[in-house]
This record gives sequence, structure tokens and C-alpha cells, in this order.
Amino acid sequence: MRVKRTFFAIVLIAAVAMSVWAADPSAVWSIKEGTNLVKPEVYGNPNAKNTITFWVYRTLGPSSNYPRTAELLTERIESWAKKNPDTKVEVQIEIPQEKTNEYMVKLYEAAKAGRAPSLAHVDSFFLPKFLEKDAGFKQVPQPLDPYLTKAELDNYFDAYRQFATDENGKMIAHFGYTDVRVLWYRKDLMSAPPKTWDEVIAIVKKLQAEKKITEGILTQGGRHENTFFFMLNMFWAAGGELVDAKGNPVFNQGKNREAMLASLRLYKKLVDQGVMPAKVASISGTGDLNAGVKMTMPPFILTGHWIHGSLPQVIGEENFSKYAMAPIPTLEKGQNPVSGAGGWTTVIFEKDPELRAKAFSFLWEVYGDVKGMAAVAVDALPTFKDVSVDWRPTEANPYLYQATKMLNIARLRPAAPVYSDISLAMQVAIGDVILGKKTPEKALDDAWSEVKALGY
Amino acid sequence: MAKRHKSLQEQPLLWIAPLVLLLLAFYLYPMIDVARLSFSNATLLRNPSKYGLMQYTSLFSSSDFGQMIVVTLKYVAGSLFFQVLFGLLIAVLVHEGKKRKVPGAVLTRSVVLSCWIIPAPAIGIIWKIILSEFDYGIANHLIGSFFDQHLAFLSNERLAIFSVIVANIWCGTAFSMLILYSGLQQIPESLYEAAVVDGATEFQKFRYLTLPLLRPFLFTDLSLATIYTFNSFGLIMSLTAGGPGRSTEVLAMSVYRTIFDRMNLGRGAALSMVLLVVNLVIAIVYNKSFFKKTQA
Amino acid sequence: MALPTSKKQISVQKLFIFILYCFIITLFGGPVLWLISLSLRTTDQLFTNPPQLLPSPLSIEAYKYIFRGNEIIGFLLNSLKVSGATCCLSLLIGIPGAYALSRFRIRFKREIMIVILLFKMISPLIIVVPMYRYFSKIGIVGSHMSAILVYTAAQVPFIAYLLKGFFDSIPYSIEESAMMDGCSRVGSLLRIVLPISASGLFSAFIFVFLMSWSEFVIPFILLDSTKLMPLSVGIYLFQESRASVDTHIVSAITTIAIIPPIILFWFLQKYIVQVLTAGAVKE
Repeated sequence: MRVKRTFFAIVLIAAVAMSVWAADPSAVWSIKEGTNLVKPEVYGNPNAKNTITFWVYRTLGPSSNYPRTAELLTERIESWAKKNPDTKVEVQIEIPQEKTNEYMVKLYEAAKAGRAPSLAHVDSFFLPKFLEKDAGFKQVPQPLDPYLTKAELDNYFDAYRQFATDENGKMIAHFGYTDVRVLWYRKDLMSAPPKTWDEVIAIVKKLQAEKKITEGILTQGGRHENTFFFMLNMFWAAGGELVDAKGNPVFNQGKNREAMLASLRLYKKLVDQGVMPAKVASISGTGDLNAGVKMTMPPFILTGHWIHGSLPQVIGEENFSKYAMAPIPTLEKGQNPVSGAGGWTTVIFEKDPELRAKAFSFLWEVYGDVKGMAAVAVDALPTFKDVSVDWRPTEANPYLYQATKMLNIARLRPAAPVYSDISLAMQVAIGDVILGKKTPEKALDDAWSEVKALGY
Repeated sequence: MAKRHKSLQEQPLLWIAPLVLLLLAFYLYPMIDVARLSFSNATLLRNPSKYGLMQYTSLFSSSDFGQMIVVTLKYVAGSLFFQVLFGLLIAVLVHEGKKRKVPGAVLTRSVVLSCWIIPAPAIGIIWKIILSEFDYGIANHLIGSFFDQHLAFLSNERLAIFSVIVANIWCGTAFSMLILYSGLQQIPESLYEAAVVDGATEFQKFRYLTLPLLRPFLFTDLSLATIYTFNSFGLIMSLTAGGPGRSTEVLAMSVYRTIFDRMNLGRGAALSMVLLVVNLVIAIVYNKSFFKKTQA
Repeated sequence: MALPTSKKQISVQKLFIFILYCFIITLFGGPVLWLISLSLRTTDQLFTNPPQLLPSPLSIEAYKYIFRGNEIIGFLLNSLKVSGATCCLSLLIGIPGAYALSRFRIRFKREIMIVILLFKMISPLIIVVPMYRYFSKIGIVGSHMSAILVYTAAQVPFIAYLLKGFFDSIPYSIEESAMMDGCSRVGSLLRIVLPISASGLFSAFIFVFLMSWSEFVIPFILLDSTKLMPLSVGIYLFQESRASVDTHIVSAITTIAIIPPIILFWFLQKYIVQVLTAGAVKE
């Protein structure tokens, strides 16, 4: 009885104390660090009079899991901090890799309520949603044109500049880094990479007959943006369009429908013929994909250029050196291959002009100018022309050089608010086709009606 | 004798007030909002512009909805049946073991109960690792050494629902065991002794004495577990995320995905209304049958 | 005629039960041990074939990685704070409510109970977006208080039900005699009812704690800053499968996330077993 009472009393007191504490908004835990200028929660002079707020994608920040990126970005931030002792950057939110959907909901709600940060990382996949007119945003992405010279604006690759420009011709986001989607193939098993999917099937069948391999191709087929984005490349190469000039969905009409059906039928064919295992429908991330590659070392992997950052750790450098990059094959001969490009942008929401200028100076110094681009682009690709010119192959980054070449055939996703809805509906469609639950026609029609039901 | 007149302390409403006020202020208003949104075409971004039954009609006429209901029913029925069964078995084992002073009874009880304490997302992660097809997937390793086979627990759509049910049984058994064990503790030992005097076997004791006396506990267990299983998806989220395809997407998870992935507020609200109705039906069914049984 | 079970029969039964115990403990304890084993490895040791139970050498690399920035301590403390405050607030509100429902005659009592039950059936997840908009209008969004209020509103119906059942099982006559001796209603609650139902209160405490411990979406959407985030949100910051394989890190972080609830549980185990006994039957 004694023990019970004492325990109960202690717990009660502790809980009361904590709730009193909880009511005090300034009682937050601060993170212990050294007295450097780049702490996880504050960049710059901690006593500065100006504060700008930042929502940072962890991979693209000084706490990144890529050591080189973390190192270089820390340097850039320090250099900015020294030049701007009157401003500090408060890092409010760090975005975890797996939860970008929830993060976007949070950012939208914040922008609608007028609580968005001064600047934030926004996945290019979602950026167009901020252009939605009926959303009632209290804060919108601010134009960067006043702060950039013509030369700097021209330095962006056209596709990226166009993507980030709104209907008034203003650039509303800094498209800071990009990645491309490619076909990795085992050069020890074939003399040249295939150009069409029929060639892929032929090569796989031959290798399977020779008992050199079991699975032919691995890719992401689960609920993830990449699942759809990988298929888009063949769709685009076949001449399909997702949306019209006004941003309305047209992917199930006319020529586009044919191209989409052809792509879905391709996946079905790959599964039916034993080239692609149905289990790809549960691969929704790079981790799963890497582990799958380790098990069977397939001759083909349909993924992004970025796996050179993690796959060697899983299968070993020697095994990884068997793979090389090639453009994604097309559905038919004569079509030009396309490499889908994505990436993250940095957006400024700040309304106060003075603070906005400061936010821009931070953005540009850390993520913008040539040196900054090189920093982020350690494990990604630059969107600037003059940086990539300098992008010579070195021992440290032979893959980045190959990937940069892909930028010539790169294509971005349409900058229309409906894109993310199309992708989500199609991710489910692709999964259903891979698993044989729906015919390509039914899967596509269901996805179409889902998108249309949203009011487009 | 002091006359006790109604002091402030006797006002029942004052006691209830904080509870009711809290719910009204912080729950009722958003809930009404959700109900309103379910009759609109609102998305996360766009304010509603049309009102009507469109969300419900499109929901009930889509083939995916039917499939999702089937998946939900399979999940709930499969989990409940086995978790109550195993919970009962383990509760009886621990109870009997304690009576006979078998070593390890308390340890067994504690270990099983610990599984209930593990947060649902963590359970999903634990089972994802165990059922994984990769090298660290213990389940496949064991199966491989006995049967030389390899089961795609998480990527084969027929197996995935089975995997999800197994993981839920694992943690649900702990919960059922907890309730049924408390029930067993309540049965006076004297009743058993009397039965032994009358020549009852173990099995007869169980069937005619234990089970009937456990009835209220079984009902509590079933009703609480049913409501909990219908409403939770944390385990499924970290285990399969609803996949492959949509083969493990239950109703509660669909609500979440519709709002956060599809950003379709109207449809998500409609789905959550459906979930609410399901919950209501269950509560009524259990209440009615419970009262009937106790009156019998 | 009594049929005594022979000594041999008893031993056989005991052995049988013991073997089953071993089996059950392996089944229920095994997965957690495997998780911990995975957390103590380096990346290469993850993919051994055949899988080994105990990697050698053991490596705490994953834990070192997690603790390198001290953020994890902040997340843990935030979790404890938010969950603890939720427990306290829900008990503070739930106890009087349950007491009233148990002891007083209230008009529409049945209706009120049904409405309370209704609230219990709606997961707070569904209302988090309207909640955010509503909270930002009234100015409390962003602080721990917003999350605590949402959790409390979600848990209080359950607590009220649970405790009502518990209070129902305490004979009113005890209170009556105390009150005839001059004890006030509140005094009777504090000095008589609560001590008797201590185990029920502990279990209510654990239920609430558990349910708020692993919530991701609600704190992520409602809270303003990563500094305020609880562990359930923070753990995702340590997962990064694009840069490297992280199964051992995921295992380590999951292990850390389940330790506080398990500690709390082992402390209060005894009471939980008693709790539903009284509350369960008196539905």
C-alpha cells in the first residue's frame, strides 16, 4: 500500500509539473552543441537581431546523411553567416525522407493559415500545387526575379527555368538540384545496352536460358512517386502528354491513351513473361530495391542515377562496378528516349521585404551560386549550365558525369497542380496491373475517373 | 442528524462539465466540420464549391471500395478469432500453471503482456524485419531450412493479408490474454474443488464452469478488440503500407491515405463517416447481444 | 467419489505446461530479441546468410549514430512531457466525470454516455486538418498544448468509461457511512474511492500513455518546430535509405522507442492485471 501511494504521488506530481511546463511555450528543449555557427536548430549568429525561418529537407541540409553534402553545406552556411552577422536562420522543421506527403500537407496548411516559414524546401513534384488559385493561400511563393541578374536567370537549364516560372513570367522557386531516371545494366552480361523494351526481353530470355540470371529487371512498383515516374519516360518517348496547356488532365484521350495503355501493357508483358517479378509491387523505396538487387544481381535495374550512393554498400564495390547507366529503353524503335528528372526546390514565402532579401541572400549563397550548386550536387545533379560544363569525370564521381549527360534528354514533370493526383491514381493502377488484378484498360479508366472526380 | 442540502459539490453537472466542455470545444466542432466536408467536393487545397451526396455515390459505386471492405472484414475476423482463441489458451495455461506451481508462469505472462505494450508502428517494423525476403528475414530462413521454399510474405498479395493478420494476432493475443486472465482470477477456487468432488474431468471443468463464467469477459474482450482493430492501422502502415497494390488497405488506412496522399478531404471525410457508422453498428450489436445473454 | 490425480499425472501435466511456456516465450519474446540483435550490427553484418542470432563482434555503431547529435534526447523528453501531461489532464478531467456518471442521477445519463462513446469512435487522425485550421484561428496551434488537448479529448471518453466501471464496483455504502460522519463529497472521492481504485488509475494511466506515445501525424501537423517534436516523429529523421542501408538504425531506434513503455509496464504490471476485473463485468 505504501509503495502504491508513493508511486502514485510521484507520478501525479511529475505529470502536473510537466503540464504546467507544457503551458509555457518557451520551455522547449534546446539541443546541446558546440559554439559553432551551424547548429542544427539555428544557423548564424545566435544573437542576431533579424530572424528568418527555414523548413529544411534533412538530406539537403548540414545534418545530411551524405557526409560530403553535410560538409560542404556547413561550409557554405558558415560563409554566409560570417557575411551576415545581423541575421540568424531558425530551422523550424526538418523534413524526414519518408514523410514528404505529410510534410506537404503541413506546408500547405501553414501557407493557408499565414504561418509558412521565410523559406522552405519543396519537392518539385508538389510545387505546382502552390499555383492553385482557389486554395486561399495567405502566403504564396515569392518571385525571385528582383534578386537575380539576367545572366543568372539564363544560367538555368531551360526546362528547370520554365518549370519554376509562374504564369506571370516570374520565377517563384529556385530549382536547386535534380536527379535523372535511367536504366542500369550489367555490362558484364551484354555488349551494349538495349534501346527498346523488346530488346530487353530478348536479352533477359537469353540469359535465363543460359541460367546466368533468375530475375530480369527490378524496379520500384509500390506506392511511391517513382513508380509512376519511371513509367512516364516510355510514355513521353511514345509521344504521350499528361496535361494540356491549361493544366487539365488529358492522359486518357486519343494518342495519350494509346501511349499510356502501351506502357501499362508493357509492364503486364514483363511480368507475364517472367522478366519482371511481381514482387516489385512491394518495392517502394531505395532500401527495398537495394536489398532485392543483392539477392539476384539482375541484368537490369530501372531506377534513378542516385543508387550509386547506396547500392555499393549493399552489394560491394566489385559487384557494383558491373553496372553502368543507359537511357531508359523506348516502347518502339525510332522513339527518342527520355530521362525523367526531378529534384527539390527552395521557395521563399517571406512577406517582409527586408527579411525577404535576407532569405534570398541565404538561399543563393548556400543553394544558389555556382559553389553552392557544387555542394548540393555532390550526390545530385546541378540545374545550372556553367556548373555542369565543369563536370568532368573524376575518380570520385564517374557516375555523376554519366548522369549529367542524361540531362540532355531530361524532361520534367508538368508544372500543373493536377500532376500529383494523376501520379497517385496511376501508382495504384500500375500496382494493380503488375499484380494482375486489373487489365491495363480497367486500371487506366479507374485512375482517370478518380482524377476527374477531383474536379478537373 | 445534519441536514444535507445540495451544496455545490452535489451538482452532478459540475463534475461532468470539464469532460463535456473539453469534448465540445475540441472535438465537436472539427467533427461537425468533417461531417460537413463529407457532403462536399473539398480537397485539402480547395474550399468546397459543391454540396451533395457525390462523395458517397462515387464511393459506393467504386470497385475499390468493395475490395477494401472485404480486406477490412478479413483482417478483423481473422485477427479476432485467433487472438481470442490464443489469448484464452495462454490465459488458462498461465492460470493453471500458477496453481500447480509450474516455474515460469509469471514470466510467460509478463513476456506475452509486453507485446501489447509495444506501440503498433514498432510492431509493424518488427514483423516487417522478420517476414522480410532478405537475408535478415528469420521466417524465410526457417522455412527455407525445413521446406527449401521461399515465401513472399509481404510482396505477394494473397500472403500479405495473412502476414498482417499474423502480426495483429501477435499483439492482440496479449490484450485478450490480459482480459481473460483477469476473468480467470475471479473464479473462486471453491467452485473447481466442488466440481472435482463431483467427478468432473479437466475438460468438463473447462466447458461447464470456466467458459460460462468467462462470458462477460469474453464479450468485453471482443467488443473492445473489435473496435480497436477496426480503427487502427499503425501496424499495417509500417508493415506493408497498404500494399502490395491495395491488398492490405483497410478502411481506417484508406481514410488516412485519402486525406494525406490524395489530399482529397471530401472523400476522406466520407470514408471516416463510413467508419463511424461501422463502429456504431458494432457497439450496438455487442451491447444488444450482451444484454440478451446476461438475461438468459 | 474423488479421483485423485496421481503424482505422476501431476508431473506430466507440469512438464507439458512448462514446455508450452518455453514455446510461448520464444514466440512472443523472440521477435523483440531479434530486433535488438539487429540493432547491434554494422551494415555488412545485416546481410549474413544464414542469419546469426548474435553477431560477432557486437557493434553499437547504430546507437552511436543515433546519439551523435543529442537530438534524440530532446525527442524522448518531449514525448515524456506530452504523454505525461496528457495522462495527468485526462485523469483530472476523467475522474470527476466518471464519478458523476457512477454516483449521481443525471437526466439523459444514457444519452450522454452514448454521445461520449461516439466521440471515442472517431480517431483524432481524421480531424487533424480541421483541427489545425481551428486551432490556428484561436491561436494555440504550434505549441505542445495543442497536441496535449487533442490527445486528451481523444482519450477522455475511454478513461471515463473505464473508471466508471471501476467506481461502480465500489459499494456506495462505504461512501455513505463516511459522508454521514461529515465527510464531503470531494473528500469521499479523494480519501475513499481513489485509493481503492488505485490499480484502475494506474492502468488508465498506462492506456493513455501508450496511445499518445506512438502518434506521428497529430504532432507533426500541429507542432511548430522540430525541437518540440516527440520521439514518434523524430525517429523518421534517422531513416535515410537513399544514402545508405539503415535496417540496423531502424532497429536501434525502434528499440529505443519501445523501452519507456516497457519500463513503465514492468513497474505497473501487477495493477494492470487487476484493472479490468472490476471494470469489465459492469459494462
